[in-house]
Parts: sequence; C-alpha cells; structure tokens
Amino acid sequence: MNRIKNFSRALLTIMLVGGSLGASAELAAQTGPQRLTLSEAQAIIAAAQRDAASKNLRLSIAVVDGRGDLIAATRMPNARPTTMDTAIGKAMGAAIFGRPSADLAERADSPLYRNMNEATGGRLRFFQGAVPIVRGGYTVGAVGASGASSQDDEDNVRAALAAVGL
Amino acid sequence: MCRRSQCGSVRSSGVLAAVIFGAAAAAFAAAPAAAQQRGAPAAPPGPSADQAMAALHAAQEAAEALDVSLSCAVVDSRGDLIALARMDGARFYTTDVARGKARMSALFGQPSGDMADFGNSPAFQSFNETIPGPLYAFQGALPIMRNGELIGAMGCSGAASQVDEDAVRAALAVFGSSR
Repeated sequence: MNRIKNFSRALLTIMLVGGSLGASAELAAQTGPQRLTLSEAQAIIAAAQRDAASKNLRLSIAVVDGRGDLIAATRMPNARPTTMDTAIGKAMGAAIFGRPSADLAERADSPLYRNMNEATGGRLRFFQGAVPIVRGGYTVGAVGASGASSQDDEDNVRAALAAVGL
Repeated sequence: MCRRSQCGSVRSSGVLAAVIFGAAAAAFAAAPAAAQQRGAPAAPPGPSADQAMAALHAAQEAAEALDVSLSCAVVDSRGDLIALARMDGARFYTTDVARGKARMSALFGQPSGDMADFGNSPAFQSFNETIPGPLYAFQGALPIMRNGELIGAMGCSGAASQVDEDAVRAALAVFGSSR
C-alpha cells in the first residue's frame, strides 16, 4: 500500500517537474528566461556568507541581474568597506559579458571593454571573483565577491551558486 | 680547563646567546603569522551586517503591505554600503537613488528630506562634485543613531518619497534605540 503511495507520489512529482520545465522553456522562448528574483539573490548571498565564514574570509558579495543592475549586496562584518564596489563591479562585468570576470581581465584595456566601462559609469571591474548565472541558456545575472584573494573570491561565489542549485 | 671567572663569562655569554637566539627564533616564527594578518580593517562605526539585513526585510514587509516595490540601502557612518536589496519589480535606478539618499543622510546626520534647500545650494553642488559617489538630497532616508552617536543611515527609493521614508521608519526599530 505504502509502496503504491510512494510510487504514485514520485510519478506525480515527475509529471509536475516535467510539466513546469516544459512550461518554463515555452515561456522563455516567448519572453526570455525567468528573471532572477530578490529572494534568489538573497539566498545566493546567504550561501556565500556561510561559505566565507567557514573559511574565515570577510567578503562583500553582490548579485546583479542580466543587465548588470544591482539586486542585492551585503558586506560581512569587518570586510573592508571598499570591497563592496569591487564586488559590484566584478558582478556587473560578468553579467554584461556573460562570462567569469577572470576571463575579462586580459581584455580590460581593449576599446570595447573601455567603452563599455564608460557606458556603465566606470563601475566595471575586470578582475577574477565573479561568475554569471545562466538559466535556460541566458545570462540572468551574476554574483561577485571581493575581500580575499581573487581565486578565493571566485571559489566562494561558485560554492554559493552550487549550494542554491544555480 | 679555564679559570673560574672566564668559564663563568663564557657560560653566561652562551646563555645570553641562547636567549637572543631563542627570541630571534620566536620572532621569526611569529613573523609569517603577522605578515598574513594584513592589518585588521578599521571600518567606521556602523550597524552590523545582520541588523542591516533585518532592516531590509522589515522595509520590504512594509513596502509589500503598501503594494509598492522599493530598493533600500543601509550605509555606515562613512556612507559606505553595508547591505542593499531591490525588490522584484523595482526600477533599476532605484538602487542608486536609495544608496545616494542614505549617504546624504549618513554624511550629514539628518533625514535626507530635510536637506532639499541645501541640495539646491551651490555649496552642495561643489560638495557633491568633491565627494566620490552620488548624493541625493531628497526625502526617503533617515539617520541611524546609537547612544547619541551617528552610526549610519538607511534609505529607500521606488515610491512617493514620503512612502520611501515611511518604509525606512518602519525598519529603524531593528537598530534599537533611535537616540
């Protein structure tokens, strides 16, 4: 009896998940992918803070949307105040170019990158420590961290995204 | 064999050398740890990050009750951002306005809404050019006090400026006493 109940529950779950996946793909084709919500952004930041605390790092962490506009940001206790704008700038770059900010470092002086930085108010930071958030083949946002070594920053945001399943 | 006095001096200088060597070794052993500690960052007074997050949640609840979408920002007494949240549906530029109003309030220790006249003055214009980062002298941000000391400010943007300020006021209790 229980086995049948469990089986039917599993079947229902599969149908629901499958259905919603199909629906979201259809929606994405019409309107673009589902945007990153504030609660998702805050979940990413909370996960990043947990990861940072476990490694004894003090970071600023920022989440931006697919356009590079800020959704949420937090500076951990005793993180340097100036790390905040670095975290935001790295996340903006990762979102706008749709690739990890580490990949942008070598092109930072190219005319396209300099122009893009001018167009966004000079706020981009082309250093390692931010990665894009991809959903349905679209960059829907990016998360960046600053305050440790740039490799630690990047490891931190990757761990955070893995923790929340993005 | 040496004479007693010489032996004594040799022994004592040996002890001295051992003490010096020991101290030097201890200093060297301590040096890498000290080098890694690149100086603790001395941040200006400000609310804690937990308080800032709690205040953002409180402001969000107030905004949801009024059916508006806001961005809110909490800054420390230097005007540096501690935490920020843009609610789903709030316009993209509201993050900058919320942050700019909060900075205004933090740098002058007043509600940003009380500073409209100053905001129109040439003195403010030159100030705004001197201090990096935008300042907004509009209603919607309030200072955060602790034991009579200004420790930061919180600002919201996205609705009518009075509504922005009401959302901040609803969240200020998170920071404890307002005096």
